[in-house]
Amino acid sequence: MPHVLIFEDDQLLQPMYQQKFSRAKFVVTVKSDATDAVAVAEKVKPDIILMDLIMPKVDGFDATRALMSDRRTSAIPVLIVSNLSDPATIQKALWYGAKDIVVKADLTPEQLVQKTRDVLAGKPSEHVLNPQLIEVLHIDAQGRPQTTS
Amino acid sequence: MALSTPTTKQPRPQRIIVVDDDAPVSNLFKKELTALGYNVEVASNGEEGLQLAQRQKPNLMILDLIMPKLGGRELLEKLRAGKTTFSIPVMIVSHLDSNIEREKCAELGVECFIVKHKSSVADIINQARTILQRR
Repeated sequence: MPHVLIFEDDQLLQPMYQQKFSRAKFVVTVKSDATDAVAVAEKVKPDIILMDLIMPKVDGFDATRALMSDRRTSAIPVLIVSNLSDPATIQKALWYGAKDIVVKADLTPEQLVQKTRDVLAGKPSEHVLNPQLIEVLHIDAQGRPQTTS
Repeated sequence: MALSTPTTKQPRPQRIIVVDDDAPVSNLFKKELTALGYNVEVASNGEEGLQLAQRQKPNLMILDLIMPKLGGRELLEKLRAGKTTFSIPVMIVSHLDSNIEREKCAELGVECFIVKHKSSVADIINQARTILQRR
């Protein structure tokens, strides 16, 4: 059975994910906090990781970057599952190494299970990377002051 | 008698092979490098990349490290051991951020080791151009 490790801080979603993925014949581990994502993933050895973006302490981007940077966890596919869907978020997720990104509100739990299976099967993301947006992300990451509008 | 027009021989475009299992990333590199006039082929794993390299003898290869079937470093070792592929210039562009990995790749003679998420696309493309212009 495939093992899915889910980083999700929403207390209402946690049991729902646990139930849906268990019924779909996954082994499920749910964590509320991605602070030690690499250590957790190394211990759990999941086949795939589902990552929320907005979480306390460490956000999903930093956790994904940490997972991808480390040889022990770099081969584990990460699927970002978030309510953020703006182009910059999509670009950032893919450029930081996630295999794909989906919007929670757009999918039923059954569709999320199917999407997880697709990623596990190596189905590529349909999103297209935009070099200009990545350039902006890169400059921001180097410390450019963030502008608000 | 019709005069024949002088023909100027166009230089053959330099060939680049991108080996990366992330389709959005390899498609992006292909698009950007093709726009600069390079002939770009893409492979989604190390095995495919090795076969392409043996067939095409590219001027540059851009390799990811973590890939199914055959990883980037294993592919690099096979390239260096091959009679026709040992001298192909190689750029590593990966998410792995490890000094050990960097040293191992340096020992295998890579041109550069770039951590993908710490770089911009422009940095990576410029690095590829610099390597190709040196050749």
